[in-house]
Parts: sequence; C-alpha cells; structure tokens
Amino acid sequence: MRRFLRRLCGDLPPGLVGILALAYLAQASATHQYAPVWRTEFTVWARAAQLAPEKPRTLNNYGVVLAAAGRLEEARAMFERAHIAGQSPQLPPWDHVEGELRARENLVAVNDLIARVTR
Amino acid sequence: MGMAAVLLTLWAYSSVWSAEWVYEDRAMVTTAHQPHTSWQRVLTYWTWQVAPTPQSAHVVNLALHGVVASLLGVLAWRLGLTPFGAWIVVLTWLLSPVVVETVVYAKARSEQLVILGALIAMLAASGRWWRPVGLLGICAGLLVAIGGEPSGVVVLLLVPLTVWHGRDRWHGAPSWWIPAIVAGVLVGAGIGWYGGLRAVINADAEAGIVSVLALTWQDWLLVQGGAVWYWLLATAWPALLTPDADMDGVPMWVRWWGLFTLVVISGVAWRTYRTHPVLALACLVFVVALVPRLLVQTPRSYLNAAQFAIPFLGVALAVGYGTQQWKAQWTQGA
Repeated sequence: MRRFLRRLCGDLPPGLVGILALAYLAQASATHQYAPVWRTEFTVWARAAQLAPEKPRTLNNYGVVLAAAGRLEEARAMFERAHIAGQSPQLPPWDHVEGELRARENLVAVNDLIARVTR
Repeated sequence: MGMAAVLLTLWAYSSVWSAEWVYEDRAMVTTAHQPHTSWQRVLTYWTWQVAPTPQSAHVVNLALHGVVASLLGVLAWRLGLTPFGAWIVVLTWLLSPVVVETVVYAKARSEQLVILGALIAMLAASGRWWRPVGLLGICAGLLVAIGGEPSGVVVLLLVPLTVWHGRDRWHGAPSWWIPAIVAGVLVGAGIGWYGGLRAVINADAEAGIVSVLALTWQDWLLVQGGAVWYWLLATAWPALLTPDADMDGVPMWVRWWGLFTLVVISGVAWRTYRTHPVLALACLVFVVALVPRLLVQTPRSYLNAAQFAIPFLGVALAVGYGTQQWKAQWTQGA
C-alpha cells in the first residue's frame, strides 16, 4: 500500500496530495453542478431569477421563457414582478426601460393570450 | 496526471453535449453570418461560421478551454513556477466553476479568444521578446485578442507587464519601458481612432435607453467594484454563480469593499515584486485585466463571469504559486 502511494504521489507528500485531490474534486463537482444551468433557455433564466429576484430584466426574460413554454399564468406573475421591480426609484434609468416598458408590453401580450385561451 | 485532468474536465462539462442555444447565442448566429465591414470581432464571427450548430459551437468552446489551460500552464512554467506549480495552475483553470460561463455559453467564446490572444502574447513576451519570433508572437496574440473582442486591447497592458516581470532575466535585452511606450502609443492611437476618450468611456450610450449623463465615472467605478467582489466571492462560493447577477442590488459598502480589495491586491504586488515576483505579476494581471472594465462604461452590461475570466488568469497563477510555496514548506517541515 505504501509503495503504491509512493508511486502515485511521486515526491509529493501523500497528505498534500490528499488535500489537493479533495479540493479539485470539489471544484470539478461544483462545475458539474453549475454547467447544466446553461443547458437550455429555461434553466438559464430560472437560475438567474432565483438569484436576482428584484432584477427587472431577469424576471422579464424568465417570463418570456415561461410564456414560450405555455406556462402563461406563471409568465404573467413574472411580468408583474418585473414591472413592479422596474418601478423602484433605486434602479438606474436603463433598468427602468427594461422593467417598465418591456415587462408592461409583455404583460399586456400575455393577458391577451390568456383571455383568448380562456374564451 | 494529464489524463486524470482531461477525464475530470470532460465529466465536469458533460452537460455541454446536449446544450442548446441560450441567451444571446441566436442573435450571435445571425450577426456572424451577416457581411461585416469592420475587422472587430472578425475571429469570433469566423468561428461562428465554422461551427454554426449548438453541438459544434460547444465543442469549439470546450476545445478552446483545453488550449487556454495548456498555454496557461506553459506560461506559468516560463514565468518561473515548478512543473508542480504549473499543474496546479492548469487544474485551477480547467475545473474552476467561475470560468464555466466561457465554456458553456457559446457567445462567451469572444472572451475565450481574448484570453487565448493574451496568453500567446504573454508567452512571447516572457521569452526573448525583442527578437523577430517574440515580436511576431506578441503581434499574433494581439490580433487574436482584438479579433475576439475589442476588449482584447487589454493585451497592450499585459505584454509590458510580462516584459517588466522578466526584465533581469535576459542579458542584452532592450529596456522594459520600450514596449510600455509602444503600448501607450498604440492605446492612444486606438482611442483617437475610436473618436476620443469620451467616446470610448461612453461606448454603450444609446438614445432613449442610456444617456451619457445618466452615469458618473464614480458610480460606474463603484458598481464595477461591487461586481469584482461578487465574482471573487463566487470563485470561493459557487452557489453565487448566475447567468445574470443583480449588481444594482449590491450594497454600497460592498462596492467600496470591492474597490478596496483592488487597492489591497495592488499593494500586495508592490510589496512582493522583489521577493515573490510571480505573485506580484499574478496580482498585477488581475488588476490590469480589469482596467478596461473599470473605465469603459457599459451600463447595460456590468462585469459578468465570462469577462471576469480574464482577470482570473491572475488568480490561477497566484493559486499555483501559493500551492507551490506551501508544498515547499510542507516538505521542509516533514
């Protein structure tokens, strides 16, 4: 066993090799968990909306993805949240554009769609 | 060791084989296939024409990730790290979750090309840079970086830094300030060609959305300072990683803290440039790679993880050097 460890580690202390192996396995594992977030449009914006629940652009984009998937009620809720977040006085002016204008347009469109579907 | 690193990387990125176009990828496909009159991003567009499907685009990004890691390892070794330290740098680059965005988001290939160009130029600058092969390498690196994205001009800052790092290494080498002056002249000429300093700083101004008066340089510096701290924290705590971070929501004290961190890192470089030159260079690479992002105001796009990958070159070098020193102490103590 000791000879095998020595062959595996070369001149490196086995304790150091163990710590580094753990550290890089943890890094690889974190990468393996995060990379699938970028797999589809839906996973991207679901994650973004989860970590930025007050950001109008993110909420609006998540709403668009939900609407495209046919989840209209959820999309409407997301556009409403984006619209409210876009009215915050603490936001810079360009975020108002993203939040107020785009989210409002999308909100109107999704409401129309829901009305047509329910009719 | 190499085989283990490759297998671990392929496992970590196994999701890219089934990844679709996301975010601005589709817009990029359209843009890349339109005729272009400007040479900006020409290399990025060419790679999109060569690899127009999601699968091929992600294969290109993953391959570039491997090439960048290999070049970074060679650079670390050329800068004076031991093979062990260089391997740590390579592993840090290959497996760190903070660089995931440059691999799995096809559009972020432009950042990968900037990094590739920077590494080619820095490799050339770390040797006999004044000889034709060295100068050719620096020019090639600069062209690759700018062909990737306009922010590739950061190479003009990284090359003099690398030459300065090796200033006592070669006998008969021209002084390090010559490339610094040439880089300064090129940066000045580039700013003039773009329309002046004001045009460069307000590069993202757009009528009806972002006015040049909407933002002061202090606001911009602070919000980008907050973003620097956010991505540094996400490097250690990957749960914070996200495709669209809310930098407007970062508290003011965190923004100041981010700027203070940059000052501290610069201070570390200043204190260690004689005793630990590689660490000093790593710190300076980190700070200098952020300079264009701190100066050029693009209010609709704060510093993101893909852009943070360029200063992360400095973090990877520092981790490699630190681990190498740790190993030396461990071996001495045993």
